[in-house]
Amino acid sequence: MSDYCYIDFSIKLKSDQIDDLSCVFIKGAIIKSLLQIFGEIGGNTEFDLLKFDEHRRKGIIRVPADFSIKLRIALTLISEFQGVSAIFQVHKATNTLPALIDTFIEF
Amino acid sequence: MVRFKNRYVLLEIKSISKATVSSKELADTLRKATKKYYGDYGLASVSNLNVKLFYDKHKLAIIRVTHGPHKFITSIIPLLKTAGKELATYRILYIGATIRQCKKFIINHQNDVLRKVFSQLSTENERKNLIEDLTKSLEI
Repeated sequence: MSDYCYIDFSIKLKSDQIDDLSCVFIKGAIIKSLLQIFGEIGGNTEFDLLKFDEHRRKGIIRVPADFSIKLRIALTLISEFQGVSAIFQVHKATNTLPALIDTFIEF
Repeated sequence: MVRFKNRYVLLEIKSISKATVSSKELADTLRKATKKYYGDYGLASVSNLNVKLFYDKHKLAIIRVTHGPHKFITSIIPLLKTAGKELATYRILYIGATIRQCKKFIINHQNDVLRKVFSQLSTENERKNLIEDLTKSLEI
């Protein structure tokens, strides 16, 4: 078993006013949520945004398995992205990256 | 029926200035620090934080916290730098399950402090005054 957890997620915005939906801002929003909910000590961990598709607004996060629950809580409780109402929907969470073929790749 | 457990943390506050700190200010300082270091989750966990006793003269305080989240409080206390508006450092002396145990510890602790101070005092009159002051402050 891998020490990491891979999370397939997508962002849903209320309006399409946001032009720049880059991965930097997505990661920033997740870090902000983690700091707000779990603070400087509780929310401090390494997580990677492995991939983010701007057109489909879907991405993959890699996080240490011990910290995956906290990250999912932080993702769920995000309600705003750059001033626009938004939600982060988790499609699948798994220990191996190839297992995300079902949800992430569209044929 | 499961018993609801608490932990009582005995603190010593050391500050350079002689400005007094109220128990409310102390509780607010602890809540703010918990919010900073453990976020909304930490703050909600220690919602029943209460300063039960505060000996202003000796700068000792007993804080009641729920058993479990008391680790949030005990881990951030060494990081605190202010008491109210004054610069101060905190030291955890004892963590007990009841106030009674904390009070027992205070008596032993004050005895030790007394012995140390006694050795530094020269006259008998000074020693008597010190004993009177200490016994007055321990009466609740």
